Amino acid sequence: MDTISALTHGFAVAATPVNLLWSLIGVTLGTAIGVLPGIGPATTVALLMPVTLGLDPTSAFIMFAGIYYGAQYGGSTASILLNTPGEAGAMMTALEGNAMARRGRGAQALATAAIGSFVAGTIATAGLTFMAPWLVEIAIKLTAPDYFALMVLSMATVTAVIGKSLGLGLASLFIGLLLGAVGLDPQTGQERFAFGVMELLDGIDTVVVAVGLFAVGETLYVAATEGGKPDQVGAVRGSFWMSREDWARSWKPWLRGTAIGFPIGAIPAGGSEIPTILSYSLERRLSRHKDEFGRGAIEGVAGPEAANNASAAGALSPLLALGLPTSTTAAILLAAFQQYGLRPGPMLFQSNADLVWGLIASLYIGNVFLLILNLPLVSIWVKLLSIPKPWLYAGILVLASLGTYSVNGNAIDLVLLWGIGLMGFVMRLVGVPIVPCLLGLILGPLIEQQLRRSLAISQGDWSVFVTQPVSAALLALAACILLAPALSRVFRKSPSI
Amino acid sequence: MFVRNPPKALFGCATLLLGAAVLFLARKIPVGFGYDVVGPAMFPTIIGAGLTLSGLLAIFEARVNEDVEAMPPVDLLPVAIICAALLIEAAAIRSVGWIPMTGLLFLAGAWGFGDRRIALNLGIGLAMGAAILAAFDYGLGLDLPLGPLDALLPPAG
Repeated sequence: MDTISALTHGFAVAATPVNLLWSLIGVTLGTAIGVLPGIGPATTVALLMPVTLGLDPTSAFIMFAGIYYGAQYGGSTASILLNTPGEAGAMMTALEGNAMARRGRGAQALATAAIGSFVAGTIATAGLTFMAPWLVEIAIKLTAPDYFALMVLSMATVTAVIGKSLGLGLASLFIGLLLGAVGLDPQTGQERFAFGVMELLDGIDTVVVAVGLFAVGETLYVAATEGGKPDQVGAVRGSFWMSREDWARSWKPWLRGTAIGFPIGAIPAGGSEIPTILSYSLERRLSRHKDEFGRGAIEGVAGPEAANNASAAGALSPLLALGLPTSTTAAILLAAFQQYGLRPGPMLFQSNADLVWGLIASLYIGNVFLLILNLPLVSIWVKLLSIPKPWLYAGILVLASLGTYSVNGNAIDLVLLWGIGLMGFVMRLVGVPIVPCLLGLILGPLIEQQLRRSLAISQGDWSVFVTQPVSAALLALAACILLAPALSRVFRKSPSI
Repeated sequence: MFVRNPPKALFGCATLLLGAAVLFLARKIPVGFGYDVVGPAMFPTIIGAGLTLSGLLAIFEARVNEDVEAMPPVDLLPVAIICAALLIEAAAIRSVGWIPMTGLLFLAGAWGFGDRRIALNLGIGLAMGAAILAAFDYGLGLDLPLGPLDALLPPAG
């Protein structure tokens, strides 16, 4: 009951002409940047963050919601037509979708992706609507040690899931935590790792790190390894409408993908990678057209795309209710909240009900806009894919320096952008996963706060984390996730070459 | 000592050194308030220890790692050019302004990807810079530095 009236109020906020306009601008920009090859949703949100800087928080987050969903849609277009998944969640879509595009069925692949994303996005947003208030109820009961354990779990899953090497994953995570610790200690005002540089006292901005690691790092990596060789853009021919058979083969994967994506997106399980892989293998097992998998099976696009979008909505539940990001993109959204001095969590639902419910309502609206933008207008986005690489990456560099400079208006951030971009380049060369670094940066200050709060309550007794059931269980789970692959490797004793 | 994956071992060493440096710096953070159960140096110490251990782990993994992917051939000239452009932008954006620096960055980026049409790309970059500046300074009320244009154009917002 309460939820329904809150949502109705949210629609009243989101459906004002001005906010509808911001939502439309958001989904358009999100799609336009998200469609660029190699640029995933996380980078898109980070690059577009400055665009919202001049707005009031409610309009800004309505626009953000549009950018967030738009980036997911745009990302799938690039994956299908160019085979350049911008992040792990789009890999499965690229697999079958690009195979469909090469067989001349790119239009149908785009259509099932767009409609599937709409179906999954809408159902999962409804899930978010009802789950978030329920999560808030739980969130109020959690203590500081529980929050600490929850964040440790979130970092452990991301580090263990992404990449093959635990050592490199942990190194990336701790580098992120170190970057997050730069500046004044919020509790005592002590300067840490700032080396007397004024601009560093406020800390290193998340936008700078995200844009540096993802956009600049990727640009340098492509420049050094591939140069300007043009990509093969899959042609979009014929009618966009899916045949009766396409529909019949798509609707069940959409629903199954949603059912997999939403819950897994909402728990700390490393974002959209696991649900999309699960959905893909499930569809392959259930399909009556197994032989088509690998050569462009429509189920293999419909399921993972739905799972991807549903997990994006799922990730918003713990973000809004607990302040806990479970994916990279959610982590950047958390940074956006911090930019406005807002702290997602149970209090936000009380203190900023307009904003929270306006944002949730605008997710429904944005989904409708996106369906319209992506079905009839997809040929416009396809044109963006044919921008020559030199201009594309030069443009990305310009957007990166724009995003970085406009956050604080100081030139030191551009030096940081260079340094962090170079670090992202080296990390890509060595094969160090990038995502744990970003999560460490964003969660670092929060986790330190909960850690010190816990220890202050327990008067310095570290056993506080293992004597309470919730935090003890979460920490044990985190330890299992980190250690399980390593242990199994030791016991499996590979034969030496 | 046989290392299967030298880049990974090097990265591990760098992480190890960084960890040691962080541990050293963490010791120098003043902690003197009796009423703080845990001071500002505790978390940095954990980070330093974590960096050191993950560096060691990476070095260990690099020695025994089974699946080594060959590193692609790397051309560092484009990287140097793009880096130089970013640093020049950082140094001169205040005095020269957003528009010329965007022109330079776009030119360097396109050059780094093998497009050698200098005049055309500089032109595109300048136009892009001007369009962004107009949208941001006059539309959104943020200020990107105008540089010498400051004296010529009407004040924003």
